[in-house]
Amino acid sequence: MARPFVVIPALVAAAAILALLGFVIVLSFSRMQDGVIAGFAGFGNFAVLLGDPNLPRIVSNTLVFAAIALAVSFLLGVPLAWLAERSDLPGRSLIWTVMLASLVLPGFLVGMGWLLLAHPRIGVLNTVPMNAFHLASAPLPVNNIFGMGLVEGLVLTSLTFVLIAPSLRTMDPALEEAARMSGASSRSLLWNVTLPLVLPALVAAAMYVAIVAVGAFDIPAVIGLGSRVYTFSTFMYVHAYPADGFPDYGAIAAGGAVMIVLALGMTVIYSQVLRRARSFAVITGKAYRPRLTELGRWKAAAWAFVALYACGALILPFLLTLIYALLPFAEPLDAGVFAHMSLANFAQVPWNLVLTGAIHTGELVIVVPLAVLGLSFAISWIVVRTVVPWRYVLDGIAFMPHAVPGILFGIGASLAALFVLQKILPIYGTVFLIGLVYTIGWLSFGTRIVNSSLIQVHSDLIEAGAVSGARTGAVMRDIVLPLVRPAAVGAWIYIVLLCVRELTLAAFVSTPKNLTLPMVAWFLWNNGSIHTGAAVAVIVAIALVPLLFLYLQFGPRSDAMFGSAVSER
Amino acid sequence: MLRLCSIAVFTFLLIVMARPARAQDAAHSPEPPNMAALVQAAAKEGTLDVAWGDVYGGAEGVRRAQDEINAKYHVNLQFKYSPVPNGAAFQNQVVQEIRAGQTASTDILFHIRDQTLAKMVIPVNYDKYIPGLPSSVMFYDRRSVIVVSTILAEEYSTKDVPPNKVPNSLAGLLAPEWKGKVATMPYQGVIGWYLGLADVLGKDGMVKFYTALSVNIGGLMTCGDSDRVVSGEFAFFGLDCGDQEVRLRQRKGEPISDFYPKEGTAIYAFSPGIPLTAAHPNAARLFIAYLLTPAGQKLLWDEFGCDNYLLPGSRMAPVIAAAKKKGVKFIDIYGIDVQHPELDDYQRTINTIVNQSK
Repeated sequence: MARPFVVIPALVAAAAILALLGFVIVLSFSRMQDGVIAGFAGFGNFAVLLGDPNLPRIVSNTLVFAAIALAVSFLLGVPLAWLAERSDLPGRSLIWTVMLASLVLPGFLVGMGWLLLAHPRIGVLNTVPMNAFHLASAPLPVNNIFGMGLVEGLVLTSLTFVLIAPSLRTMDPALEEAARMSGASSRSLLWNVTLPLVLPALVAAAMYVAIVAVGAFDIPAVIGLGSRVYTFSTFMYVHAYPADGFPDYGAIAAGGAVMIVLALGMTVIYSQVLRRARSFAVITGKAYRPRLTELGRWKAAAWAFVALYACGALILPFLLTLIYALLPFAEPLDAGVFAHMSLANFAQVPWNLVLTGAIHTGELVIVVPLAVLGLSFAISWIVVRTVVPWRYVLDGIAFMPHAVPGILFGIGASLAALFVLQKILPIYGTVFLIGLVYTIGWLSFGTRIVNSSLIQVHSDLIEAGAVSGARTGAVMRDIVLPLVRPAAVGAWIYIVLLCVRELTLAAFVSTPKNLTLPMVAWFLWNNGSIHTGAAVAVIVAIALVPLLFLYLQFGPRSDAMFGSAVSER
Repeated sequence: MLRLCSIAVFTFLLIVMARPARAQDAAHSPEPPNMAALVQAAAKEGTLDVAWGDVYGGAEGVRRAQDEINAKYHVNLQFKYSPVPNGAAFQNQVVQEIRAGQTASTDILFHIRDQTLAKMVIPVNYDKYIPGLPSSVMFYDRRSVIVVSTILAEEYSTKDVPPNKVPNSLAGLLAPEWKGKVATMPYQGVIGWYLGLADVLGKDGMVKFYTALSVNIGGLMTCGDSDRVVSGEFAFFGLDCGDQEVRLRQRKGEPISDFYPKEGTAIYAFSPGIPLTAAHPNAARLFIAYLLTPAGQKLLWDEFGCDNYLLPGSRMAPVIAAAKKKGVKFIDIYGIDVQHPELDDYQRTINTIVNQSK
């Protein structure tokens, strides 16, 4: 059932991805002079990359950092998703609010917050025990690869949650009921039924989060750069933005080409998971509202767990950002700090810039999520619901932008817009370019979500629609879209939040003409106006509160509609 | 109907988002013959787009310049300032735009650091607009002009470094007690290369110094980030991007100070230029010319903490004279890359040393 209205957008999206990645490959074999292509370099750029004496340390740092971040995000994110979707924890919808609110805070602010909390010389988590117990060294230094991984894990927990929760929500209870009837204990049920059922989603999420961690920029930049602890992304950044000459895009692209090869490997593995996924179809069209597990006396512990996460990922970083926004200059956090607080930094906020950034961000918030979800649905439909021979290739292509570090993706898009597209499509320096890069960059996220959702829609439902005489469009509109709506709503909100907080991609395609709201905060933060930047960040966070309420208002309602729609059918 | 409206809104937004920047060629824009003609030409352009960090007072400096210029010349120019996080990198981005024939994102490159960058900006005869302007402030065939001078110093936290332990030399930073407490810039080479000059440390001495300093470096920070010294995260930051940062912070009562190293202290400069593809070259000429007037120099002293010591009435000149009396050996280093091509190599050497990964 691969219709033109599905095939054409899917192929356009795939072509855009391939064109951008192809440009990166071309750059990797190009000789650069003063920042522009000056000829063919053969494998010279790869030799430069491999000859860098820092490379072995950077590779090991990146792997350790990503492993810790993945472990932390799963240790926190999966239980939180389970508590939110499969337990009878009272007020558990608040967990979604906490997770979405933690997405509101840009990662660099969480990094700054933790730097102030656990810096070996000024962090209160270190200075207090050091003074109290006369310790010679800091007990909890955050400015090493382990600390960075921990903080990145906290930042990525919300992503893990968003990726896992919809699958837990839309599970068929029949298998669990059968296990219960057979006398399985709760633990046995969890290990032998529930976890295997969500295994495809867990594997896909793990791969996704691992790649995000490998390419993560904000935490390594805020915590690591200052302490000379480099990961792959900050290594690329240093090469992309040298102060002693023009960037060596060839060497950067060579690194990107290596990442593309690794991405191909990841894509093959992911495809294998997907091939086996049909056996994991867990929505059958019969009542599929999963039964909630009773927590009993563990409710208090569960809430303590949620509160601990909220403190580490949300409350403390926000409070420290707020404190920075209220202070005239940086100072250690002790009792005397309150005497210096005022609203003076808010008075110095460049409001015209904030307004311009807000308008640009608003345009992105409206266009990008729709574009991502529309294109993702087209791609995922072909991948999951058709048997065309190139469907896995298409899925692999959609997955690849994610595997390429955002920095490289941004640089590639910026240079392509500047030197290749300038005559035919003058989009350099426009919000459209940012929107385009966001859309392509987040297609992998969109397709993972829609893939997972479509996998779980049993083909019986679609076949029943077709047998009843419904046309393809009607089947999609009346059967498929309502069934994938919870996942789509979650993904839409997540992409909206990404639009509002994204820095890495934006930083490399931004000019002063197309600044977004978080870029204004980030630019101020990094150009010596730290406290004004913190004030703007606080304003951004507060401005996003209505969005959270919007979700609280419509999220559960869409869920209810989802359930009733199925029962009616 | 709702669906049609949604599609229409979506399409409209796409068009709005894709509106391209206007192409421009400042290189072929005729230079107005005098200040009156310049003011008229700038007024016709109406707008000035600038982007830099905290240089020239950042947002507040630009706002004040707009108000003062409009009042003085009876025009209604609108200055639009955008902050950028990494000035040097942003200038490289603008160079890419110029090479692609794209309108530059800024009408002014805030600092023409060397002769390579100077090729990307237009020559301007500022003495047409500022009578008596000494030719010694114009560089690279008049493509850049020094608007402020600054002294490259070593910053320290007055809370963490007691007065009796404040060093007066670069060697003082190498003491074991400061291990892990010294910060430097990831692009230290941009500034530190002058230490390789024969009358300072020489190339071998420069490499030896930075190799030893690397042991004491606890982290890297960028210009304008001296909050990290004030907070106590680092005891020292050096070499810094100029003593204006400390001067501005001291005016606010922050616990920070600096010293000029006795081995040789550099007088550096910030010298703007106008990109070949600037959209508003005349407004840019007027802005820079104004900064060279006594009122503009006062603005820079107030908002940026320094001015041009080569111009009459400078407040930096007495600072330099007083330091000289105390025995500080100053070296004027702006523009010497023309005579010393080897300094380019020195930059890379220093950056490689200080950026070694942990």
